[in-house]
Amino acid sequence: MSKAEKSFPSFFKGKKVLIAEPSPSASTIIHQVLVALGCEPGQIHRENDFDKAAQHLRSACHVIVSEYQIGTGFGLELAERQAQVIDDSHDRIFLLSTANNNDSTIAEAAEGDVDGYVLKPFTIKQLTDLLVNIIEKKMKPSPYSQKTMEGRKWLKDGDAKKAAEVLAAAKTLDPKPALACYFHGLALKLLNDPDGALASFREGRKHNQLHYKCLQGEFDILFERKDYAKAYETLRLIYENFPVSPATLEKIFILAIFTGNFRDLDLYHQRFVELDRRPLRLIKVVTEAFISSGRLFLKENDLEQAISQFKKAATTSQRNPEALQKITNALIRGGHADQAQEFVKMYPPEAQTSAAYIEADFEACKGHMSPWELIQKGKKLIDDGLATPSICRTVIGLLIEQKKETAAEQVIYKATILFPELRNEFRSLMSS
Amino acid sequence: MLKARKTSILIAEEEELRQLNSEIMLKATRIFNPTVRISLLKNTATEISLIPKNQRNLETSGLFTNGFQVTLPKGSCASGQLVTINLIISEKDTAEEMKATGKITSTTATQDQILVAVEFLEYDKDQWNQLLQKLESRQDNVTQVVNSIKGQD
Repeated sequence: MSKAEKSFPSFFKGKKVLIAEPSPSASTIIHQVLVALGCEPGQIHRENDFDKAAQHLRSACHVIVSEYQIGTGFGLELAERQAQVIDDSHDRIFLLSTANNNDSTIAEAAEGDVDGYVLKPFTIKQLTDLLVNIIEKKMKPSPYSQKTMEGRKWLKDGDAKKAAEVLAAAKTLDPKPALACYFHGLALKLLNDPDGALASFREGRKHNQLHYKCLQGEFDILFERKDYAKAYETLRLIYENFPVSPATLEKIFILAIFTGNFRDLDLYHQRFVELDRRPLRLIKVVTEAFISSGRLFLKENDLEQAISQFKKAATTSQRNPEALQKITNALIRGGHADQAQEFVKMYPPEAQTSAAYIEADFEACKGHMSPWELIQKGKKLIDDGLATPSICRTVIGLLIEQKKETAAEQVIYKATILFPELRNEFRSLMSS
Repeated sequence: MLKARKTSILIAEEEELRQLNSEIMLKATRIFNPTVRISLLKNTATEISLIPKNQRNLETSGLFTNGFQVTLPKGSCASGQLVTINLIISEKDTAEEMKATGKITSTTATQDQILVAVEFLEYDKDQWNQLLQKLESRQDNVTQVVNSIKGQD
C-alpha cells in the first residue's frame, strides 16, 4: 500500500485537530489531506488568527498543523502550549507548514516540540508522506523509543532517580542509543552527578559523533564548570555542523567574549544578521559583545577595528542610548574624543535631551574645541540647568587652569545650586 | 603501533562523518526555494481570464504530480471547464515559463473564494517533474536536518 492510500482512523479517533493557517487555500489543502488520512471533518478546527487558535489549546489538542507566523503570533508558541497540555509525545503531533526556509527557523523548530517541518509550496504527496511517517512512528514506537519516552516522562514529573534507572535500561534496547544517553545524562545532572552526566553525553557521541542534544548537554556541563575553552570548542562543533537557533547564537557570542575569541565575532554576526527573528535578549548580548570587543581593540591600540566593532554594536542595538553612552565613554577615556563625536550623532532625536547625551556630546567636544570654547559651552549648559556633575567639574577645572578664579567661583556657585550635595567637592577643586 | 593505527582510523571516520553532516546542513542552507505563479489562466472556450483584474498573477496553493491547486473568486469557473495556462516557475533571479492546457477537476468553497484543482492535459512533463523532484529533495533535506537536531536515533 502506498503512503497516499494509507488511512489511520484509529489514530485520529477521539482526537482534536487544529489547522492554524492564515491562507484559506493552504488550510483547505491540509484539511483535505487530514481527511484522506482518516480524520473526521468534524474533528478539525480551522483558524486563521493566533489568539483564536490558542483558545483551542485550553484543552488537549492532539494534532496541530500550523504556519510559522499567524498574525502577530508564532506557530512554535502553539507547540509549546500543546506540549504543556499533553505529556506523552506519542499522543500529539505538531507540524509546521511554512514557506520560511531560514536555517535558524528550522533549527529553532527542531529544538522545540515540532515533529515535522513542511516547506511551501509543497505537493500533496509530500504533506501526506510526512504525516504518514509521523503517525506511524507515534502509533508503533519501538521498545527503545517507548522506554526512552517513559524516562522522559519521569524526568518531567521530577523523579530524576527513577528517570535515570529507566533511561539506563533504554540504552540497552538499541545499538545506537544516543537519545537515551542524552536523557540519561540529563537525569544524572539533576541528581547532582555532573561527571556521570558528562560521561553519558560523551557516550551518546560515541554512537553519533555529532548528536545535537548530546553536544548541547556536554556544552552545558562544561559551561557550568566554567571550563569555557572546552565549552567553546563544543559549541563551535554545533555552530559548524548545524543550523543555529537564536538561543545557541546567544551562547556562542557570550563564550567568544569569555574565551577572548573576539576575532570570531564577525563570523557569528553574519548569522545574526541573517536571522528572521531577533529576540531582545540576543540583541543585548550581541551589542555587549561588540562593545567589549571594541574596548579590547582600543586597549590593543587598534582604533580601526575598535571603531568597526563599536559601529556593529550601535547598529545591533538600534542606536540604543545606553549602548551609545558606553561606546562614547570608552572612546573618550581612550583619548579618542573626535571618533566619539560620530557616535554622539547617532543618538535618536528623542534621546538628545537626556543627561547621557548632553554629557557625551560635551565630552566629545573636547576633541575639537579649544578650552575657551569648551568653557563657553559648559557655562551655557550650567546656566540652562542641563549640565551634569562631570560637566561642572570640567568647566571649573578649565577655568582654574586658565587662572580665571573669579569666573570659577561663579561657576561653583551655580553648580552648587544644581547639585547641592556636591558643594564640598566643587569647592575642593579651587583649593587643589 | 596498532593503537596509533586504530586512532587514525577513528579520526578519519570522525572526519568523514563531520563532512557528511556538514554537507547535509549546507544543502539546507542553500535550499531551493521556488514560487510557482500563474500568469495566464483562461477559459479555453470563452477566452475569459480567470485571474481577478486587480491581480497580475496568482500563486499556486498546492501541487500535484499532474496539476495544481489555486484559489479563485467564487463563481469564476466550474468543474469540467477546459483552461489555458501559463506558469512562471521562479527561483531567486531565474524564471522559467511553462505553457499548458488543463481541466478543472474540482472546486471547493473556502469562505468567499473557491479552491480549484486543475489537472494538466498537455504540458511539458519533464519540466514539471523536474520541479517536483527538486521540491521533494529540498523537503527531504529539511526533514533530515530536523531529525538530526531532534536526535531521533
